[in-house]
This record gives sequence, C-alpha cells and structure tokens, in this order.
Amino acid sequence: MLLLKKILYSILVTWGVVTLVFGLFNLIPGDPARMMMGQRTDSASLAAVRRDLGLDRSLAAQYAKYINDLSPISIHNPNNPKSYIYLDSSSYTPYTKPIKLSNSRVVILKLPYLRRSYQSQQTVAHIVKQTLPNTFILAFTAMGFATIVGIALGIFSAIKKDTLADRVIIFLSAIGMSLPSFFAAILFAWLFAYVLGDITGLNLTGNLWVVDDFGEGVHLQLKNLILPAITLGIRPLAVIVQLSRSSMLETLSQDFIRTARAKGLSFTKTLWRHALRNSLNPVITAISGWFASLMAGVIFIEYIFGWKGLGYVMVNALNSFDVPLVIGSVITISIVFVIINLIVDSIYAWLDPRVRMQ
Amino acid sequence: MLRVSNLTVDIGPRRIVTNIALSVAAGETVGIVGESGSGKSITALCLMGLLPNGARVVSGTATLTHNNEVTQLIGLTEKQLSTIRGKRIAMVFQEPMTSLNPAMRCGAQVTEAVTLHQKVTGKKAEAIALNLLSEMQLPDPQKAFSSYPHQLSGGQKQRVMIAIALAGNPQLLIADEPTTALDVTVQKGILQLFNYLRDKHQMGIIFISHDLGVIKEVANRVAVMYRGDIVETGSTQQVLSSPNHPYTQGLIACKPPMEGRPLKLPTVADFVAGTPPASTLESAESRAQLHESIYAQEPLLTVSNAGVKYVTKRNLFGRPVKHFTAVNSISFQLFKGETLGLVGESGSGKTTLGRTLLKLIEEATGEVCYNGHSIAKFGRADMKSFRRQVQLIFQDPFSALNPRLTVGQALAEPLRVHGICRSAADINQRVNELLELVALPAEAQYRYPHEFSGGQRQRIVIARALALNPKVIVCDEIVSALDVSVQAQILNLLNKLKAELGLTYIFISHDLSVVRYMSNRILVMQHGNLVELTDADALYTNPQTDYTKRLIGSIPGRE
Repeated sequence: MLLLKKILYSILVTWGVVTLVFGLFNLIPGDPARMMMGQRTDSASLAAVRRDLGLDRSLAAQYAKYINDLSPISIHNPNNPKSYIYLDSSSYTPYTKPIKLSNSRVVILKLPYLRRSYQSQQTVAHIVKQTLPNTFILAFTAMGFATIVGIALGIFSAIKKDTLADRVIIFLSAIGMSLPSFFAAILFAWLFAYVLGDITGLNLTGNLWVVDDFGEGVHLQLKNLILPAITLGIRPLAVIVQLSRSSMLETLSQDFIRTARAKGLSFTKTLWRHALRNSLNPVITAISGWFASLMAGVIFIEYIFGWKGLGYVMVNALNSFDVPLVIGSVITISIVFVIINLIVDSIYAWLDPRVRMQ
Repeated sequence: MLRVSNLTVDIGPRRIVTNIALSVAAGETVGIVGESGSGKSITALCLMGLLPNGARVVSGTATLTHNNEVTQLIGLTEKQLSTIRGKRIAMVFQEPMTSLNPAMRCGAQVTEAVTLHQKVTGKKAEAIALNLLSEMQLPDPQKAFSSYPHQLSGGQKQRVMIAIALAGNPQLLIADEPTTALDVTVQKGILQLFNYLRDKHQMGIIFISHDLGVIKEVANRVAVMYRGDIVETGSTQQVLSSPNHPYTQGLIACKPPMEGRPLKLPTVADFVAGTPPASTLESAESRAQLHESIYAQEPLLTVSNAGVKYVTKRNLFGRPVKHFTAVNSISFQLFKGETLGLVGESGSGKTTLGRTLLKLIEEATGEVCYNGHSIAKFGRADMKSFRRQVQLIFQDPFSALNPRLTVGQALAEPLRVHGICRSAADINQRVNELLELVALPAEAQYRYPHEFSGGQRQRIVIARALALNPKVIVCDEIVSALDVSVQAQILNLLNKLKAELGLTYIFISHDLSVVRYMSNRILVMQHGNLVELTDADALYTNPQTDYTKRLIGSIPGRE
C-alpha cells in the first residue's frame, strides 16, 4: 500500500518534470527546423520540416503529442500516414498488438518515444541506450566508493573520537566538502595523469571502451574509470564521513546500546549488531540526496575526462542546439532520479521498522 | 551475596558517591531511595562496570559471592566484565521506550542474550527465549516475540527488558527506576513480577526508586541516599514507620497523605534544617463550608460535549478514513475558586481536554462557555482577554522557557504583549512582584533559565502564568518531572497563590495522591471518556466504577 502510493506519487512527479521541460524548451529562442537544416535552406523545405516536426500546430496540440509520445500507453491512428498521431513503426516499438478502439484509433503499449536527434538523425532512445550505461557505471562506482569508504572512515573516527586520526579525518573531509568537482577534476587529472602519469599509468581522458591503436578491436579499459569515479565521489564521500560519524556517536549514546552492553555483549558485537543498522538511516537518506547532485556533477566530470556518458552527450547537444536530445537526456536523468528515490525509500523502510507504520 | 564497602565515585572534580556501604543477600530486594542527583544510578552502573565517560571509582570494593566463590567487581578489564554482565549481574533500566533496539524484533533481542549466556543456539535458544517471555506474564508471548519494540506498550517492553536481564540466570538484578515511566496500573503488575521472580529464582535485587510507595511494595530492606551518601538503612518496615535521619523523615512526610489534608505540606528542607513544621489538617467542616459556597455560584466555565478526533489515516485523495478519538463528548462545569483534578492513564485524553478548554486544538468540537459566553463566538478582543484570563502551565519546566531570554525578559514579555504595563518602571515593578509571589529572589530576573534547578524553573513558569492576573490556570502534570521534596514546595506554592489571588485550577496529573490532595472535585478519564466526576474524598472512599477502583487500588504503598 505504501509502495503503491509512492509509485503513484513518482508518476505524478515525472509528469510534472516532463511538463516543465516542455514549457522551458518552448520558451527558449531559436527555430528547431532551421537548426536542423542549417542556415542555407529554402523556405519550402523549411516549411516541410516544420510540418514534419509538428511545429506548425498549436502549443496545446504539440503538448498532447509530446505526452502521447512519452506515455507508455498511447493512442494512435494506424491507417493515415498524414495523421499527426500516425502509428509510425520506425518511431514506436509496441510491446503488444495494437488494441483497436475504432477504425482510426488504436491503443498501444510502448517504450516512451523521445524523437530523433536533429544532428545525427538517430533516435534519442538509441543514443541514451548507448551512453546511459556508461554514466551509470561511473555514478555507481563513485557512489559505491564514497559509501563504503565514507561509512568505514566515519565509524572509525566515531570510535576513535578526539584522537589524532579522528581530527585528521574530519579536517580532510571538510576540505573535500568545499572542493568544487570541476576543480577537483582538473586537479586530479593534472596530478595523477600528467605529473605522476608515469607511475600511475593513468590517462588524462578516456572512455571505458577504447579502440586500440590499430583500429582493430575494442578493449575494456577499467583504469580509465578510476580518476573520474574518485573525483565524482569526493564530495559525497566527505559528507558521508561526517554524517556517519555523528550518527554513530549519537546512536552509541542511546539507551539500547547501554542495554546491549549490560546484556554482556562485547563492544565490537554491540557495534555491529545494534549500533550500525540504527546509525545508517540518515546516511542512506544522504546517499539518495547525493545521487541527484551526482547526476549534475557527472556532466562536468564526463566532459572533462572525455567519458562517453549521457552527460557528455548532453553538453554536446546543448552546444549544437539539439533540442530533442537535450530534452531526452533531461527526462532520462529525472526518471532515473525518481526511480532511485523510490528504491531508497524502500531501503529506508527495511532499515527502520517504525517507518513502515506510517 | 553482594557486599559493597567504602565505595567512592567522582565525575570530573565532583564527588558523586561518598564512601557508601551496601549489602544484598540472595532472595532479598534492597531498595535504594533518593532524589535525582543523589548518586543512586551511578552506584548501580558502577557495579556493572558501565560508568559514563569521565566517572571513576576513587576507592572502595564490591564483591559478589556465589557458591563460596568470591568475585571482585571493581577495577575489572572489559574482558573480565563480559563474564559478569548479564551472567552474574543484570540490569533493567528506567526508559523501556528507548532501552530496546528499535530495529530488532523483541524475540531476537531476548534470544541474543540467551545464546550469549547459555551455550545454546538456533531453535533451542529461541525456545528458551519464548519461555522467558511467557514467564514474564506477557499477554501473548508468541506475538511479543515477533514484534518490534514500537509495537508493544510501555509495560510490555519493560517485561521484555526483564526477560533479557534474566536470560543469563543472574544472581543479582539491578532495576533502576523500572516503573517510573509507566502508568500506576501497569506499574503494579511489574512490581508483582519482580517479587515473583525474586522468590522463584532466589535472586538478589537492587531496586532503585524515588518513590517510597513503590519501595514499600517490593523492598525487604531499604537504603536512603542523600547527596551521595547512604544516610539510613534498615528493614523497609522500620525505616518507613520510624525514620531516624531527618532527610528520611522529610521524604516520608512531604508526600501528600492518603487521609486528611494538611493545610501546608511539610518539606524535606524543613526537616533537614531541623525545624519540622507542625501539621494542621484542614477540618471537614471548613471544607464542607467552602464547597457549599463554591458550588452555589454560577459556573465559571461550562463545557458541553467537548470532543476531539484526530485523523490517523487518509486515503489516496486525502480524505480521512480512520479516526482516533482523543476526547469523547465530555461535559462538565468549573466553578470559581475550586481545583478540579483531572486523572487518567497516559493516552486517556487529559492533556487534550485541558487544551481544548483554551481553544488550542483546532479539531475540537462541542462548546466551551466562559462566564456564560461561548468562546467559539469570541471576536479578537474577547479572545485576547480570554487568553489573558486562562493560562496554561506545562509539565517540563526545562523546555517551557526560552533559553535565550533572562527570567526578567520572559516575565516582561506577556506584560508587554497584553499592554498591561507600558513604562519600563512599571514592568520592572511587576516583575519584582511576580518573583516575590513565587518566592524567588529579585536578582533572579537577571539570570538565564539554565542557571536554575527544575523546581525553581517551575516557579518561574508559574510566575509567568501569573503575570497577566489570570482567573483560571490549567496545570498540566506540573510536578511530575520534579523530585518529591520539590514537589511539596510547588504544591504549597500553588495552594498559597490560590488563596491569595482567588485562582481556579484545573490540575492534571497521573499521580493519584497528589490529585487527591490538591483537588476539590476530580474528573476521571479513560480512553477519552469521562468515567467519573465527583468530590475528591468521595472518589477515594467510595469509587463508583471499576476503572476508578482499579486506579486507586494500584497506588503503590497503600495498606
């Protein structure tokens, strides 16, 4: 029931984001048809393209088509290729056979259709499918690194409270928190890939898959992941250290820890069995929040390190005014974000049984 | 079995426990009584090796003897302590709400203790744990076993705590205020459980409490602690009936008695200073006369069908589908010059009803008439004047004062808001008057709340309520957070103010003896319903309903 409510809510949020994006991109200046065709086109072909994109319709009609395209359940006209909502098999990939409503209307279940890139003429879905995994790999590696190292360091410094080690950790995490990611990216790239490049063997830029020098095979280059992931993970790492430290300290001062000690459990066992799980709640919340900023941070990092992810594509699309691709990337990122939040909420309920009550 | 001698404990530079000696035999409960800060909890934690950071044992020994084997308890390493904690000595704490791990099922927490101490694992350990829970007389042990702590009531949680403590078959059980956070009826059951367990397992029990009534129910012997020192020990019977030390005498005398009504309660301070006051009882005739004149008047406040319902569950569209009825259609009248007691267990709706009268609860239904006018129809000006005339005092004096305002500023604020005093000189004069009324020195106005003790803070809060010359004061559990000795002083102050200023009180409390002492009439509540409303003495001598009988029967320490 709780989950159902959350899912419904998520759908609502997604719809809001989609509408907002539509509104924003209709406000920015520039004629998409002209951008697509270049400067030297005659007005006849411009008009043709415009009709093709539906730009000659009213804003309401454009919005309706836009939502119809994005919705997994949509209404189409299967017969008339001239129709605004013609079921074009090159655009839509239905899961099921079209369900007939009337002679000129069918309902289909499909993947959201994100249109085609003005530049490459590929479907946006195709581009997203190619690049999103790269972004995921980068983001999850960064977050995994930040979470594991962050919680470990946080708990370590909570146990060693007020010792030198604790102070050093706190000091470093304060620096990490205030370091802007684009600056950290340049600094790290310069330091580890240029100055210390011979020792570390890392490259300034590079993708996960690299075509070798002879242009023959594609090789997996995991080491290219190291620098972008660490750079991206620094700020969440710093925050997680501080959060898990203070959360652990608070948990350790609570009554049930005293109960566990009075039971006869050793300190280590008390820590693992009783303190850890209870102290992780705020940390989990922070991690979910950080995924959002990570998605924003990933754009810079990918660009600086030449990592072929969604962020890299998005920056290039923005430069060349490739509106469908930008819209597609933004919507993809926001849907990812909504899904992550949904997952985190479920983890939260699992960690703290009291949440399930509400 | 347990022998403590010359034990001295410091926290930082302060001496908390001074050179105390204590012994407990198998099958015996020793009660330790004393007020907060007297060192009783620190003594207990010291025996468990669980002293808080910064505390250290200066000198003294403690030994535990079992089957001719003598074990030292002081100065052990963590490793040695883990063979003692839970196995030889176990402890039950005051706050059952926070003393259990919220993320673990109760059964798992008991099982954990069983596996730790009894060399069994898996299903066998679970079976033993379940057995322990049934021995704790939980209504549904199986259900409690698979419940999370927040799904159980306070009393049930405390039973789970005791089950955990007994998992290692300890020789000594230390219970630190185990029933203080519980309702009287629940407390009674827990106290009986302690007595049953002591006799069955022949354990020694140290039972720490501030409540002499509770001690009387469970303890064979009692030790009275005062400022880190044990000032008196002896059999419970002997200490309670003929106390030697002035502090003990004061402690016993300052509790509102169940019979008769002293005009002024004696206080511990009087006894310690060596000047116990002669107690004069209020005569039955004068009380009857007073009641006659009070109840001949028109009612000051008339409440008809007051109800409060909270929405506990909404459907997807935000429409309420489930309600919790906090107050269910209660009607009564309040007369000028009386004290109306409001009793009931926690969750019975006392506080909600009190706030309904002040129009502080949005969801409230029904009608409240003040001086014959419905407060629902009050305009701005009328409402402001009503707010001035009806004041509320809360339970916790620590959070009721803004820590950033000096006492003088806190008292001046209502005067300014209501435009009672305009010039600085007027305000200053009124603040001095108020402080004098509640027997605080005038220089108190320049100090901040944290510099005062709980009792003094409660005086400040009372002074603030009095600033506006109210007619009615709703006192919500205002002495519950205070030590018994301070409690008597505040109760005396309230009665003095009532007589001097002609106040009317609504006195909300869960403590039945305090309510009886303070009130002219008492309203008993249960699950939001009015159970009984009658004369204070009649309620105790001749309760009409089963619920009231049960409440009165649960008052600890009654013959």
